[in-house]
Amino acid sequence: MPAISKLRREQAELRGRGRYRGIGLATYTEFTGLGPGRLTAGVGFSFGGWEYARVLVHPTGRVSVHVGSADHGQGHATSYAQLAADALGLRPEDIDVVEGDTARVEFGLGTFNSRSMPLGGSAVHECSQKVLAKARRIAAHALGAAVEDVHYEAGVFAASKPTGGGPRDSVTWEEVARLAHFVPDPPPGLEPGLDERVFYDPKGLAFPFGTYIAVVDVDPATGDISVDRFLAVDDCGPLINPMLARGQVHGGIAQGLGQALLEGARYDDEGCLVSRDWTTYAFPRAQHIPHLETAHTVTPSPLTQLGIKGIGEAGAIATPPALVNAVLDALAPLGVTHLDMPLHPEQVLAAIRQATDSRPLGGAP
Amino acid sequence: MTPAGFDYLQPTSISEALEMMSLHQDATFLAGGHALLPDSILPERHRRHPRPSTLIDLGRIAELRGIEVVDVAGSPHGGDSGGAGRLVRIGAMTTTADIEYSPAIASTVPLLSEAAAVISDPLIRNRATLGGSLAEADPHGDWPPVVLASDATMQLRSRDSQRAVPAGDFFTRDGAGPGTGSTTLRPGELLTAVTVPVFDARTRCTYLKRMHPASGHAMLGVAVAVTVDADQTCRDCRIAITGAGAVATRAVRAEAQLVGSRLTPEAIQGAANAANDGIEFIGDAFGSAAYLAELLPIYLNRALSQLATPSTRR
Repeated sequence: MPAISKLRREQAELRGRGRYRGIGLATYTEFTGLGPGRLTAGVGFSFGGWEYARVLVHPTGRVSVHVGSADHGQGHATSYAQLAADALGLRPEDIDVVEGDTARVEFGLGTFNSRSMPLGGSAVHECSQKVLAKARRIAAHALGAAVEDVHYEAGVFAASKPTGGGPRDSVTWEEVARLAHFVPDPPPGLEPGLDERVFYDPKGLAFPFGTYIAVVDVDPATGDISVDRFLAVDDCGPLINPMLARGQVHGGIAQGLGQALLEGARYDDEGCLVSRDWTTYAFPRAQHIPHLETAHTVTPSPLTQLGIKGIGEAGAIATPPALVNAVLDALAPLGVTHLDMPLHPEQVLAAIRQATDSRPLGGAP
Repeated sequence: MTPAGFDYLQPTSISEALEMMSLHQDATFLAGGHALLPDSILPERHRRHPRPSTLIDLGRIAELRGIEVVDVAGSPHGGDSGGAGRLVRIGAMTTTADIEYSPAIASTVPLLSEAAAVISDPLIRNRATLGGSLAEADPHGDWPPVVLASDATMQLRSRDSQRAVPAGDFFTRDGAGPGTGSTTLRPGELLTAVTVPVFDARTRCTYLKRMHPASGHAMLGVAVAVTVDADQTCRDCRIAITGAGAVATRAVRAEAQLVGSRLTPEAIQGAANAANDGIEFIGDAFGSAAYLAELLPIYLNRALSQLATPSTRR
């Protein structure tokens, strides 16, 4: 990440050569992970504030994680599997994530307000811990050890002190999974099976934040905007999967860029919608997206499991103001002080003409 | 938004295709499908074409595909360049991607390579065809200005005749409204190939395109081929414009400004100032007519300025 002073020096040099370079900043903070229930009730929603997870260990030791916040491209199958694997001392490939099927997943409020990881992820984490606690009791019973003397790591339960005549001193995850279902003498007070459910209701909202910087060049003859650099620093708490988080940031920036530069419903003089399909409505395509430089700071939330805060919508928040600020900064020497989104080049050129009091668009040279 | 029912025919030769066309009323030839198919799902008031009752798919006709460089004696192809020479013959069903990656095209008519590379996106270039684009004559099409600037000739066949039409006579306005570029193709006639005279070694060319942010078509496009003598004098100049008006056109007054002069900034600005001559600009939500009229001289200036320094391009 460059120092802002370096960007300003480059800008001054380019302005000296008649180039219209602009630097725009935007900082944001948002609230994510909508819940808890008392808060959603307080603002008039009647759907509670929880998210749901079920962690089901099969007799083979494979794990199914049922989640109610259905994926629409974020990569839940990867990130939920990572969370469960970490909590259960297993590998992500030992976990099957089940979602998006109401015949198999019993409950769910959904993915919105960047809540899948802070709430759904917390539910998976908490539920995995519940499962592991029961598995530890089963392992202790099999080893003839006290629960507090059973040490678990990477799929193996081991007695940390001699078991005093117990049949053996360690037992694997797979054996515990089998024993949980088929042991002839279950531990007293414990039902067979390894299958837990959690409705996770957070203590409060999470507050991700970040700062975005756009560096743009504006062509004063055409009004065209080209993005020279785009920098995004987000704080969504701990990153579960950095690549997926980056994908979320990229997608959000693309949406923000579409809003700032391209999109907008248009009607003709007779009130007919003319932005009616993908050849007349400009949503951002790959060719419109500049190289994106992303980074993170990590400030965990005290209010969710693992401090996760969510990243789904971050990119779309600060991108439009960063871009608009950059274009206004580029055109400051010409006296342009206001632009409305979307910044179509024609509107930018018209604003330049108006500010510089030169001939209007389409006027004689 | 689903197309109405239609019959679908799949000929394997040009003569079979022409025969089918004569037997079916309201039939339409289907090339790459990138104009016809999107059009067919639009509400009727937005459609450029009536809905066909029969599609005659040209995709299985091998003789409509391919690129070859041929030597010809005498008046080669009916174009206005005259004389003997080498020609590039491109089958009408040749895809944009085939043109983009053809070494033969790059070494003989590089304007076509350059244009092919900026048409929409790779997925579309893999299916959209040269002939389909030319027969469609979309006001924002990329190929019409390129064949105009490269002095190409359209080879047309019908059941009982064939003819060669210079690009300059091929595109017309049919007067049915704004943005309705059309062609001199007659009912039952098929564009089978495009022939392009091989560029002179002294010819420099470029296609400067402003891509429409939604459609990928040319919001504005300027195709230029200039032949420059050793003393830097412009001997010949062909400039064609797309996206500005109802149909692609040559900018003849701008061309006249340059022929006989050197490519100085003053001469280039003179040509740019003449670019808008005779054009009735048609805008849309992303660029009004007034805005396009601002842009065109700038684009022509930039295209010509690029060619004034011969170092990086032919």
